[in-house]
Amino acid sequence: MNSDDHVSRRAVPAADAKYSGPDVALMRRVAAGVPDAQEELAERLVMRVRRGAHALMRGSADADDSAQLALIEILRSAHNYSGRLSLEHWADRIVGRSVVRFSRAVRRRAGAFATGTAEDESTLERSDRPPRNLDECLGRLPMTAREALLLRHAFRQSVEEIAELTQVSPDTVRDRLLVARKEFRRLAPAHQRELASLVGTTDRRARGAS
Amino acid sequence: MSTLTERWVNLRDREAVGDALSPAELAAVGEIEGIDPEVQAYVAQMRELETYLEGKHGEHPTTPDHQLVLRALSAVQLDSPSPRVQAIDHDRELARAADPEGPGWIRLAATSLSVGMTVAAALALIMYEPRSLRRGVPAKAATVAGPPLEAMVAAPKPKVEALLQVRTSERGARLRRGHTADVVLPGMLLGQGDRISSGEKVGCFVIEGHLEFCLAANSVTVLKALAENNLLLELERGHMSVHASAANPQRRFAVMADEVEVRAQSPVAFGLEATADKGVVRARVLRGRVRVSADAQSLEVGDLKSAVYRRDTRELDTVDLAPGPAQHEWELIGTGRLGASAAALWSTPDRAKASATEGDVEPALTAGAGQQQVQAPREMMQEAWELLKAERWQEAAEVYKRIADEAPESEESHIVLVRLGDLLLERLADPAGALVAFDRYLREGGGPLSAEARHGRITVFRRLGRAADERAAIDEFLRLHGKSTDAPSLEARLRVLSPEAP
Repeated sequence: MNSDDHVSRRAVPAADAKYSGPDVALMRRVAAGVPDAQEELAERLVMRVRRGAHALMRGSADADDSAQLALIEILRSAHNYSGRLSLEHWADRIVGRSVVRFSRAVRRRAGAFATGTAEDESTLERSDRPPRNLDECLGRLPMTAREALLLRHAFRQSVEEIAELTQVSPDTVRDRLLVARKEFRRLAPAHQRELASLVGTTDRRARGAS
Repeated sequence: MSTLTERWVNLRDREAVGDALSPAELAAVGEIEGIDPEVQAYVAQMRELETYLEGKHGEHPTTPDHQLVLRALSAVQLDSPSPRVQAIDHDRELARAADPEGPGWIRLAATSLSVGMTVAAALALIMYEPRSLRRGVPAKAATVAGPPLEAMVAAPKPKVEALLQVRTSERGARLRRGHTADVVLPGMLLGQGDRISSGEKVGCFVIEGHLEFCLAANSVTVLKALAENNLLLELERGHMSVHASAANPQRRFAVMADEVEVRAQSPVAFGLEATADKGVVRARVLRGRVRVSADAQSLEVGDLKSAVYRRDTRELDTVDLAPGPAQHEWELIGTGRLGASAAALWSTPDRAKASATEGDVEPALTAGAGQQQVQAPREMMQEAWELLKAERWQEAAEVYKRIADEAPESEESHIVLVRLGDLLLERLADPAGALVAFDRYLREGGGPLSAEARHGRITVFRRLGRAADERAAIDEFLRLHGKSTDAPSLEARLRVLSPEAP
């Protein structure tokens, strides 16, 4: 786990600080409870936080609530920011954790955990036409696959971190990721798929080496 | 899915699940991404996913951003022992209180624990007076009950669009982003303040479909401003050619180098060059008009004119530009994607004049012809890609052959052999031709795509019915690439070909 994510307050050596300067100063002021600094940070990150929350909790009425909680957690964790990651990257990781935990709590309350497959099915957005953009692609993925894909590539969590967050084994996360990546490639938005279909659509190996 | 694509997918999937790729595998990934359009499409898709959080926020948010910020701030400043519950209840109750038809939020009068907490939060907001409450609202307004919350919070500050989509050119240019040294790929988002460098080769990028910038080798530029009404780039080092195919009167577009600013006045094609010490800055206009400003001087420069600023004398002058074709090629490195080729540009108004004398040809620019040799294979790669998109396989193969034959020293001529072999084998039913391409790639030393080339040879022999050669090729493949994911299927094939083998 990255020291920037860690809850402990131990000081990080200055040599580790890759992103120093204004952001570190801002976070110190946020940690000290300076209202203007807190507001500056919240305004800077709010769009990003919401986007992450809505992506992970797609279609859920609680997405805004989870975004709010994530923002609060970022503000409260300011003292942990050491400058090793960019401020946005550091915040993304907090958002990923916070939203996934909140999402699990919401689903647990709704009693959905007993039927993982059914839950996956219920969140799928179906349509006959091909997806036109990335959002639609994500909407067509089963919930567990979408969660794994977003946490790994958009929130930049490691396989082990995702496993801990989602309370499954690392091997399960790897399986989900591979399935998600395959499906994601298949669902490439039309303009990208058009390019992808232009060359090499024949699987030479399948024909040649079977 | 082609062989190359399949290999790339396999390697990237392994990387995604946490496997560390070897340097050779990483090199193969880079090579495939540089030449395979199918893979480039997947790369663009993944880039979009990786920058997903940088886009606009989620679908149909029910709460405005500023309200979300306000609630988060109030929760943190209250520092309650149970912030989550409080924040959510506080949020919902305030939303109810914000109903303009309602009686005002102070009348929420504790009917439940959560509503009581809501009142406490509201009072805390008033006591702390965060800036967003004060901004644009009379002080007493924040303390008087009655108006809905939305009315009490000033309108959100207009957001400057600091991040615009920058479409990089699709000719495989290896531009790099300054801070991270990431290769700039088509579709990548570049932001204000990003520094772009060209390294050893020419590279171009396109902004918003009508502004193309090509950096000569070892040149660096910075995106100084990417606002809706102002687009400004700074040339830090080297030489940059600019082609603006459309002019937006609502938007100021300029390129600067040290003290010199070149502002576009119309659709324009010009080059900007700064010497290493920035003692001399030259702006050469091939088409259109620009205004050049430096040291409180300003002049307008049009077709085939050059503005020269010398820092030692602080003089800004214009001179006629009468270069030969080579210089124009240099000036307009890569121009062409946006509608006008270099040749068309320099021939438009004064071609006869332009070809007459050397004129203002600077020593540094006379090397343009040599630069053109570097550029040519990249241009041809682009041409081949366009032909592939149009499913004109035969013509694409001919372009690949030209790359391999006409620029044998270039990096592209070597790599392109594997793509050519694939094309001949899979699209043009020419296994013999494919074999020549694969063999040449391996004979010239191979590289990251050696496994693909050897696999291609196996397929060729199978198509040609040359069982002995196929067996030998499989033996060689297994000996050299025994850990390949293809190994099991090839071993099975070998057992078919040599039933007596163990």
